[in-house]
Amino acid sequence: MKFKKIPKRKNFVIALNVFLALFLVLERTDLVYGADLVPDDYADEVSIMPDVGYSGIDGPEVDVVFDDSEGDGTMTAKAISTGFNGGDEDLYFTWYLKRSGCGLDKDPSSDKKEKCDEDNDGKITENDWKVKAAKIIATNGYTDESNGSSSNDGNDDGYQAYPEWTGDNDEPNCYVQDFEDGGIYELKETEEVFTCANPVCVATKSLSCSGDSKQICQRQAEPDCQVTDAETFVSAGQCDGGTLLCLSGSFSSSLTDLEICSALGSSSGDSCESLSETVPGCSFVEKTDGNICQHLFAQPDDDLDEETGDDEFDDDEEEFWGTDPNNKFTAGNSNVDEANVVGLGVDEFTWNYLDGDKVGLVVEGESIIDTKHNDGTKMIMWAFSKNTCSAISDAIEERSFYIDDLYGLEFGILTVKDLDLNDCLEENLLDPSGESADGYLSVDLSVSPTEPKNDPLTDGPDNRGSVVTAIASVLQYDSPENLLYDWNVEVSSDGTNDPPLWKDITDELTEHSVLSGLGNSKLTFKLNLLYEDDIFPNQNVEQYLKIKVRASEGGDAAASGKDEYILKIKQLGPDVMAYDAAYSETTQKLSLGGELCGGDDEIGADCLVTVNQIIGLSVPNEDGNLSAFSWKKDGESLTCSSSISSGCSNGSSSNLAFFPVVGSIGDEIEITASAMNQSTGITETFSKKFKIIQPYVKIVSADSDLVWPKQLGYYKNLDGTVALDLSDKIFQVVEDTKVSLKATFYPNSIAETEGVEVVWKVLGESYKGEDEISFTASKNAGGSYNIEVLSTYSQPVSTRMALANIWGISQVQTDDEQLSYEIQVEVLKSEYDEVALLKNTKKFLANIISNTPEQVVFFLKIILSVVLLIGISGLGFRFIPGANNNE
Amino acid sequence: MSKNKLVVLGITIIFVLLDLIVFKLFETQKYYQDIAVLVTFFVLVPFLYNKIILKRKLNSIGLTVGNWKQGLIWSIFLLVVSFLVFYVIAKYTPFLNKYNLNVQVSRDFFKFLFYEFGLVLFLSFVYEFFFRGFLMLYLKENFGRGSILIQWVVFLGLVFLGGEFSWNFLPYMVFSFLAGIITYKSNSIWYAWISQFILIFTMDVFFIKFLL
Repeated sequence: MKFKKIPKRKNFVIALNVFLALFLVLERTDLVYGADLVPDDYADEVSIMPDVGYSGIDGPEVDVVFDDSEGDGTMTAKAISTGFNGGDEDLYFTWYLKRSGCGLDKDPSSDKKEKCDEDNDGKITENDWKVKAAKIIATNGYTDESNGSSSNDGNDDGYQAYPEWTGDNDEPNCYVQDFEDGGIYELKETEEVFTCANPVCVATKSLSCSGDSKQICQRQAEPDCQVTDAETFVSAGQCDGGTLLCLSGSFSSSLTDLEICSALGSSSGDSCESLSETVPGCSFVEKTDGNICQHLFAQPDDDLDEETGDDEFDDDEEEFWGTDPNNKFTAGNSNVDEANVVGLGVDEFTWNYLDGDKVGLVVEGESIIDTKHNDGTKMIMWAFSKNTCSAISDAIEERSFYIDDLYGLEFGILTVKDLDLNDCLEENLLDPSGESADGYLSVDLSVSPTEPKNDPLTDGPDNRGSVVTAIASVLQYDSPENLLYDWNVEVSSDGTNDPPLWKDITDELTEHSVLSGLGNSKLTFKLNLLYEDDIFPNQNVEQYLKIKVRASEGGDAAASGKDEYILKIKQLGPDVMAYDAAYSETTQKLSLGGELCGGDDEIGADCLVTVNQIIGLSVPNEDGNLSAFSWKKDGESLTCSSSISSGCSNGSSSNLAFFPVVGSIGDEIEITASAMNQSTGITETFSKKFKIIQPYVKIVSADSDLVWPKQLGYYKNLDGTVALDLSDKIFQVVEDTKVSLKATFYPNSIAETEGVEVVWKVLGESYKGEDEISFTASKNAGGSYNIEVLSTYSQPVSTRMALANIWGISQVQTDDEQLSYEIQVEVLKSEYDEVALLKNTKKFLANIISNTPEQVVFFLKIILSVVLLIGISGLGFRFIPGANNNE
Repeated sequence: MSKNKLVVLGITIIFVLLDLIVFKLFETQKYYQDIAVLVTFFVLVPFLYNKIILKRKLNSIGLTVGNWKQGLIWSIFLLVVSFLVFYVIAKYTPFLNKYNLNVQVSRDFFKFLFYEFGLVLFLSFVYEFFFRGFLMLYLKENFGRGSILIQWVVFLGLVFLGGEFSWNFLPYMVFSFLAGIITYKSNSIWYAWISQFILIFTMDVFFIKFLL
């Protein structure tokens, strides 16, 4: 047989057609689902997967006790600091003394300046108070008398404070803790970064150019990046006007219609939507030289052009602070002069007390908390004499974050900027005159949370009530652990201190710590006060809680003190209704889909959700009595505008809300909604808890009378009762009966998700489609069936679009999830026979295969594929007549 | 064309088809599995086929210095052409808006180096080896200059029909054709490989410097 020579051009056309046919087959048969030309992880934007924002660790604190027992008119303030790493000798104690009449004043009278303006800047600021105290500390009574030396000490009494902060990001970081919510923030300036080169806020505009109607895309405003969830480090780009898109072909906002028409020429223009559909994500990074840490030391007169703690302490500074220029240890302690000015280790402050004096203290140093930079450094923090600072709470309203990484492991760090810690000083002033009295213990009670929630509907472990913690601290007492503490809890519908209105409910508390005992300065209890226990005579009014503590030394003549704290409690109503959110690609808005985790039986129970699911929330309001809704997610405000859902409106909140599930597996999300009941006038609170889980599927029996989980043994409970230990991997069935099994998805909502398919594998056969399967157990007793269910879960495209368009969540975070579950059904002779496991070869091999690690299987498959490809080609040459690969 | 040559050509085309089919059908779940599958089906399998089945030498798949003068001249010329092509593409398409570089890569110099010299260099080599070295240089014997077009169509087909088109892939897609010319002229894949890397590296540097 002789082949006719085919011309090269014809060969080319045939080969091209063969390849095109191949691709068409691949495309039409939908077989293309395997390996990627570009590994996924680098195909798109890398998502930010930081860890948690902060832990619940208490930052450093300081207490100040006063002692005027010397009787010489002096008062000594002693600082007791906690939470710092190391001893007092390593800390900077910045004392400040405010004399009567020396309040803050930007434009003081000349008399006031004369009396109070210590740094000669013409204003009365916190620095004047600090200078006043620092001079007293640094001089320690020195008044120009000679110490016998006539040689100037030069700069020998200079002290270099650590760290030397200049703004460089490589310098040690410093942190503040918000005293209200416990959050810890790095003092750092950040800047926005968008995920594309040209993020713009644009809008499509219609123009008439010489009678022709044209559409153009014009910039409206500069986009900015807003923190949408600081605790999980989520941010999104926002526009004051227009739509946020990535595109470079838009017209400047400054151009007039005429100029745009001129630039367009004969072109018909483009709408923004036709130019780009990419919505940029955004995040923050550290600003260059963004470290805004500064010491709070007293600073000298600006005219001196000197700084405290810079290792220079020349004669001008000596004169300003009043120290002896011929003695580097003017105060007579172990510190050189400048070290005393910065307050190094100065944990006591003694001064001549005058009526009206107030004193405060800031302690700076390394805390016991490790920074998140994993470089072995501790957080440098400040403690204030009253352990409060509203300026910090104000500053965190503009909080930001940045993502850092260590060896590829990303972590987020919350930051604040525009914070001057000097603003904390005034509210931390202490009045020494009110802090001590014989026979009386000054007890200070603090309670958290300040607005706890009581769950009056749910009994048992699912109760959603808050755990209230009350801590009593006794000031000016050396050993508070030796005091006897008694706790009482009362409830009233009247928030005033009118005793008859308060009802003691201490005995009604069912979950609480010790109520009375030595050193028992802390009380915790759960607010699970049920309506059915008649604790609240009237359910339709506000309720208040009063926590009382009495601390005493014991004995009749012993000192004692007490304090009480009144707080309003919120009564939790039924659960917020949760729904799958449906996204319309046409209107680009969300609406409520199928109900999730419903039913009265599930009040208080966690609703299982998965990452990147969008949850719709609703508070039932059929009678329309509820208004002024306020939604919170984990304590942070949750808003819903008309751009998110047509059920929401701008400017006023409705009974609807939506949120994307963002976080790590195992995280809990708490949603609370408050609304005003117009008929009762009280604020009602609703809640729902969600738990993030990895999606999974399980096989369960559809009819437990016919096929049931194998009993493995018993659990013996502490009370002597027993509970069955049932296998969820091995089931049993009697021969020749029907095996009915069901695939159950967790979260169960994903079973309804578009595109989720179920594939059953039984005896090597695959069955597609249904979430239930049934067959007859035709094997003899002793036999078994290996049954596997496989499924792929992926977020519907519409949900992914909603995540990207509304919350800027990257598509990389919405990958497919492969779900599978395998069980074995053992066949029994009868329901009452337990058949011993048979050791046969088939079972052995099956066992090996099912337990082989995934990587080994993968490489076996690769090797097999290579051998097959090469083998088939080799066979081709061997068996096709005329083929000779040796040519 | 002799009967034997035609049969060998037919078997080799079937082998290429099978290799691509198995590649696309091979399920991967993890990053390293993607890499392993790429190396296996685009480097290892064609290498073994060339060595064991076709019994050809390494220089037949372009692993040789080849005609270095042609390689250098065409590399420089086509690199200039490709920059011009991308200037036009950037001007008249939303390419610059759609081209996304990993934020970490754009901000961290060491990650940038890893990305360029690890992933880009690696991917460029894998594509050169299979499409230009193995496929095109083999087809060159039968189809002459047409082999440049065939390997390009195969590459584009795999990208488009495999549902993998992204604007980030455009440089590979455009340069695939030009790389074919370089390899055709030089009989070596090294020049096209380095040229492709220089193109993408330069574009990434440009993108980071001027657009981010």
